[in-house]
Amino acid sequence: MNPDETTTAHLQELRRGTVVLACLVRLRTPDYGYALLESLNGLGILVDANTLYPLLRRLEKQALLTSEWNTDEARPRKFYRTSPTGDALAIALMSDWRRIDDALGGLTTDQAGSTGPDTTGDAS
Amino acid sequence: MTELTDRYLFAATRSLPAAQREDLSRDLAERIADTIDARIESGASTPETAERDALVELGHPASLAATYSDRPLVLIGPRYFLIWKRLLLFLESFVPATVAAAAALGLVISGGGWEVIGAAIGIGINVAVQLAFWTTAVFAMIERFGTGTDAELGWTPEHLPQLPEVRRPHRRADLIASLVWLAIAAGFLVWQQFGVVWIDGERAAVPLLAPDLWSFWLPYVFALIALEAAFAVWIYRSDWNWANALVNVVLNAAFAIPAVWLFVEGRLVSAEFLAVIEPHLDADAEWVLSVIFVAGVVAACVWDSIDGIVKAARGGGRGTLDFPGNRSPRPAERSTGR
Repeated sequence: MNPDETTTAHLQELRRGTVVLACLVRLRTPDYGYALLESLNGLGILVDANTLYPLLRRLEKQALLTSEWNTDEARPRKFYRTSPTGDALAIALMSDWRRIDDALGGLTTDQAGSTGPDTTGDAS
Repeated sequence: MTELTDRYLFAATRSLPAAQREDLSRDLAERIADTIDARIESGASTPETAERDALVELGHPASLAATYSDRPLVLIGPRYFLIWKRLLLFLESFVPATVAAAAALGLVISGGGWEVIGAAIGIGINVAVQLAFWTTAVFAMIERFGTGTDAELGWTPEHLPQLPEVRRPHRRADLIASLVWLAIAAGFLVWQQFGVVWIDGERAAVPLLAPDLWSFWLPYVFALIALEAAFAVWIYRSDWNWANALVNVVLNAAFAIPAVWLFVEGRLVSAEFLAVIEPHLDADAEWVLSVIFVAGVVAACVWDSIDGIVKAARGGGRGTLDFPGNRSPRPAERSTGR
């Protein structure tokens, strides 16, 4: 695996959970697959169709989303909406996301403040 | 929606249970139609090629369907892979060889010639393939229908292997067993000279081995026994390594080859002994006993040789092989303590 592939793989892993969170938050307003894909990518939450469509079905199976076929238009489309369970999960995930962000922020500030193990002379 | 999309939907959903087929088909149809529209809108495809391009983008229908379903795409997943591998290697390491050897013995007893070797190899390969197939099939079933957890896999910390320095807890027992066995063998060689046949409670002076072997071959065997004893002590003091394993092979060959040769030439067993037992055995029984004797000698010596090689390959207790993970302390290090 070359460095680029490693980077890609780690980025994918980091983003995986955030896509779930983004879907749950975004689908508080009902929408269908392709529109959701467009809007998430437009917001800068990069997700692939091959990831999103199966994810929506999985979240529905876990009762985090509910779905309804809209047949008003020429083409029937499945509209997903965040369920109350999904909403509760979204709140929990969001608070954890903020906590991790704070923690990582603290980590980077600490590192900027310290001068590294070689020069501190603190041999514990 | 055209025929191409219909064919794609059929291909993607045909492996699913009927109940899910309709549902996924509708979902996919929506996705394909939206993708086609998007491609035309963005100018990525012309209206004529858009459908085909969209399907290409979706990829192989079977793998697309797999991403939608929860069924595993691997035969044996990470949870069972190591157990599968360990069990398979364990079984393959001795079952095919054992079955082949048993079959060969049976064929020779029933009067087979050299063609027995080919037949035995064929049987061994067949057993190896069957073993691999059925073991894998069972694990594939467990992977799909099992609900085992780590605890059910039966692993506890007590299963961890011993560290190399305590790997030879039996070496003293091994030494004593070897020496006792050699003493019994030497004693038997002397004792048989004075007769092994009892007739009406009286010991008849019929030796088992031909007396003229005393001129060379029996002293040779005694010398070999002495060498074996010295070698057992040497193994106790040093350890198994490639050189010792080679010596072990040579010692085994030095016994087995003359023993089998003398037996086949008819020089091993004394004529008097044969005369005594002849009336009790028919030709078939003699043939069977002969085959079992030769096979027994060869098997015992081959087994002992392989045992030495295996122990050498494992690196012995003192790490004659410096493989990673062999951190057995050298004797000097051990005395300094850690």
